[in-house]
Amino acid sequence: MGQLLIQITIFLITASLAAVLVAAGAAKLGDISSFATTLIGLGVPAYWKRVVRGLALAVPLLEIGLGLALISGLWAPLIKDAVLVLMCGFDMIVLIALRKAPNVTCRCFGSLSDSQFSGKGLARSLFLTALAVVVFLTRNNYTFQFGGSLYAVGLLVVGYLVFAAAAVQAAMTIAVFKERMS
Amino acid sequence: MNVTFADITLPLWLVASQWTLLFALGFLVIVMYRQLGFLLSLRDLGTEREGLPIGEKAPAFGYTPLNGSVSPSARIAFTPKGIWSFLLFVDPGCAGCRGTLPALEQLIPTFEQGMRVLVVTTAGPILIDEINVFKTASIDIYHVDKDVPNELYRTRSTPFAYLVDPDGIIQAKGVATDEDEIRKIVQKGDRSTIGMESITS
Repeated sequence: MGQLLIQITIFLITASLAAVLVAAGAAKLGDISSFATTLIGLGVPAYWKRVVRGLALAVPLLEIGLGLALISGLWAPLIKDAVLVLMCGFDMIVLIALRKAPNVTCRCFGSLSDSQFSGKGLARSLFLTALAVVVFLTRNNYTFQFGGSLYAVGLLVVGYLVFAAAAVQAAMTIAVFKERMS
Repeated sequence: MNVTFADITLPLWLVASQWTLLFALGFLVIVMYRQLGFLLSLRDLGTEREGLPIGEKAPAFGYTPLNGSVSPSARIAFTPKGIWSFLLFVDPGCAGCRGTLPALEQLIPTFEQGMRVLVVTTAGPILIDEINVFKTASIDIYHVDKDVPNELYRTRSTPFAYLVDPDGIIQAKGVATDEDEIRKIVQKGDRSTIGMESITS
């Protein structure tokens, strides 16, 4: 029974982490210009327009890609390592932002969140990293298994893609609302 | 490990993932409605709750110029006394603020000569230069510490404006995204003192 509970918990954590990655990436994609402003605020030189644009596109795509790979069970150990590295990277960015650019708006979830970098944001980031550590430590014992059920995996990935589309749409709607109110 | 519902058997990982996805979708809907509600309430009802209450003394603070003719190194003190002051909090990252500066530029000539207009932000010069409306603004924009909007004026959202009378008392406040909203805030003050006839016509 204990083993079953652990297994369920690990699966739920993995799926939640994937959902957070997909939502964060998709919401950023829905409001790329605002995320580019955040990158400039964090120190990316504004005159490197292509670099800013590229990063503003690459970061959310990486998040979505890792989220979908995590949920699909593809290259499980490698992907879980990558997720942990990404989460640690985000922690570092939040820490640096808190020290050097506390006034910059985070846009960690695109226009779905407008908060500035704060202790609360750092706590959230550390919590997500802790989840990634759990997934990383159990990467060889508990992983999503295909078991010949490729259709099921495909449907699940499609479900997460629909979720991503909903997050993009939500972020765009909020951004349009803000624009219209101006 | 499989899970059986009635006569359907599904792998445990699939059930866990599907339920998580369902909850995540629900959460997303809640977040979206919350944000929309926040935007609407801020525009209509929430204005009354946002910021310092009307009738309270406007706190003094220091600011440094970000553009214009004044030396960027100069530290200036805002002492809200002696003349009417229109204090506007903006942020280059806020979409609503991009309409505020042109609207304010249009309205400033109609303000009374002695009225002080102070546009402040917590953002640095790099961000100001990145957003065209801010970069090309003819109005002077000033930098303030994060504590000024957050602690002293308890303003969570931008653009948000205060009208302060010559005694340093807040007479009006509100979201100021366009000309109409700026007018409304200024008109809430004592019009005989600030001479808003040209604006109201």
